Amino acid sequence: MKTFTLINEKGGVGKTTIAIHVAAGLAIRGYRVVLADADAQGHATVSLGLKKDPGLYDLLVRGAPFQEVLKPVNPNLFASSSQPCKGQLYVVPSNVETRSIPIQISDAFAVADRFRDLHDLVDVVVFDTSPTPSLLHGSIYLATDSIIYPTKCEYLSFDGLVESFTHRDMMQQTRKRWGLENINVMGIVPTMFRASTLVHQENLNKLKARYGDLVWPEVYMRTVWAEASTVGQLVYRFAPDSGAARDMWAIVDRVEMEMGT
Amino acid sequence: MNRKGKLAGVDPFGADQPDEQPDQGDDAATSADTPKLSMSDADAALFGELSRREGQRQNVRGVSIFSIYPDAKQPRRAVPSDVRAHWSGEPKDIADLFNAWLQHINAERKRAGRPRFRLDDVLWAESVQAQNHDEEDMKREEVAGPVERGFLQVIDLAISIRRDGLANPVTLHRAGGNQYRLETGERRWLAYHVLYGYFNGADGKPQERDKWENIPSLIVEHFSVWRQASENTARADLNAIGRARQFALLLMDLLQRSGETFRPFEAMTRGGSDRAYYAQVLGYRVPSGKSELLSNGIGVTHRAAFSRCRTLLGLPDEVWTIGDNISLSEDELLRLARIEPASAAIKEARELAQIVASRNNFDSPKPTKKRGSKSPTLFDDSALKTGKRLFSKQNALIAKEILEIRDGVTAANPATKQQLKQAIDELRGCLNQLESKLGDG
Repeated sequence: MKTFTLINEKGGVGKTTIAIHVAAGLAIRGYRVVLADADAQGHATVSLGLKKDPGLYDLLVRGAPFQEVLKPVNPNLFASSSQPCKGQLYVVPSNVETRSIPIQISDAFAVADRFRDLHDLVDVVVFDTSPTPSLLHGSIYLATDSIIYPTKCEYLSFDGLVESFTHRDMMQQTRKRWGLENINVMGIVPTMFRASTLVHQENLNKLKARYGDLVWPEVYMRTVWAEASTVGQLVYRFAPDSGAARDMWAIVDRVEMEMGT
Repeated sequence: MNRKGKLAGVDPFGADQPDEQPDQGDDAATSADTPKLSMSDADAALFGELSRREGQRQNVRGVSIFSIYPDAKQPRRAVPSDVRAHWSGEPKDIADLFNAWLQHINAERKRAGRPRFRLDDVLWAESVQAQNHDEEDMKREEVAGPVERGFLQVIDLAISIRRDGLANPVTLHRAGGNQYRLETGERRWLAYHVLYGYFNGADGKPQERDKWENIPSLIVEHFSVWRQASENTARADLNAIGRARQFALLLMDLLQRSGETFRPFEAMTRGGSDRAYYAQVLGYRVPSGKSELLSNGIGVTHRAAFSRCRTLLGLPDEVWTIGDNISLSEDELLRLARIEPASAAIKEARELAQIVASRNNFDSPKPTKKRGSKSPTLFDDSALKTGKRLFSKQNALIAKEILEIRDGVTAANPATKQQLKQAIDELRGCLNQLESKLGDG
């Protein structure tokens, strides 16, 4: 089982969108995927056509079994006849209760411990996080193998990115103390990229100069993203031949490559 | 000026960010036997100390007595140090500790000429009631030596916990993995082990293991020597050595806050004595403005007590250990501290230990000849010669004990009564002698 997390301490950079599309893309390719929504907004949950039902809170605080909190995602939202879903996609939903998880549990390894139960049952666990640093972040940093950093090529997003990197570094020492491997930086995804905008190009160059191969192909700003979201579908389903779907498959390729499968 | 030129000068990452060359992790993190860490510790690790909050959650929950480790530095010693030396320190080997404790008790009883200790007699009310009460049970506390008395305190606690339940949860600090360190409650924890070990369903005893495996606990986020100290002073008094330890621990905590470092406890215990660890504070003054905090912490009203604690911290290791084991008074210890050379002080301390060990021999079935006139008992002449010792707090304690057993005296057997009378005559003679000497002066 591989676990990775979408993190950027800047809101609105596309964490949730990348999370659901990577999770769904991997499911289409035959992986058994669980997307854990760890953001009290519950937008990953809603984006996959689910209600903000009891989910992560119940799993961690009430000790609910996975059968109760894992919600299967209807493949009709993301797969199509030309690209059927060969695997499975489940969501651990989130709602406003998620924000009180840290005051109800004291064990920072709660997330790691619970999700380890899925070890033989699923191939990939994806955590979608909130941009605002919360006490839950510490638990997720202890539960994840890798991090994907979505970022817009803009100043504040970079600030969030740098903050996130700093915090990852800070966590490494703690992980080391508890015998855990370092958190792997899987990649950085430039999102909402506008090639026609000079500042985006400049910043993308700076990003590449600094992080080199860790910078993955850009996901362009396209109208089709908003359209797909409005009808509650993923771009693979809504517009399988669109540039957005193409961009995303390139990202899924990189994820697969990095997972070494 | 073109926009591109302007932008080129801006480094959105800031200047001082190090290059990121992340390692390639794998999923060992999730497959390893992951240890435990508190949410706020993880948060502080991630976002820095500023986000650390003192634990607000006060949830009592059951924690396995086998995942709890006593705090070696705790100033109050529920277990005598020479008993503890027989124990690996692992909760699973706790039986070793109890066996060693019983062995020491029996050795102590043998020296005092008393029969072997029977756990059944004291712990299992059903079995005690089935037997005839003899005076042994009536005054077991009074005649017990120091090692036995410490053990009986644990047993009494166990009996009361079994009867009424545990009133106060113990406080624990997470030590990593499933392990906890005791902040307060070492005796309560030992009592649970006694109940768990004893009521095991064997020999007609009830099987109550489920009840005693987990002890109600309060998990605190941060270990606090101050909280530990306030409980130590709120409960029964610490002995003099315990207070010196408490003084040293609190002072260390104050000094550590201003950046001083001390060598770890484990590295500083040698030959069964932990004195050197606490003595590390000897070179330091109490930080200004902190003396009231410190005197409250160790439960004294005046800071003159600090210098007495410092003197005790400078005692020879063996005097320190004996002083703790037999709870010598502060006066007595200060007197020993003044004796030069150290070997003479050690010799005196050993003698005192012997006096305490052999003093409760009223019921000795056959007083041994060896312990004749030379024996350093309370009523012995040689003890009188060091007159000051006779009237030290230590002996005041013994005298008080003699008074306390007066109720049991009527029920004592004739031989005991005879012995007591003899002892009282002897003491009267000593006192008369002393009085007359005083009159001469």
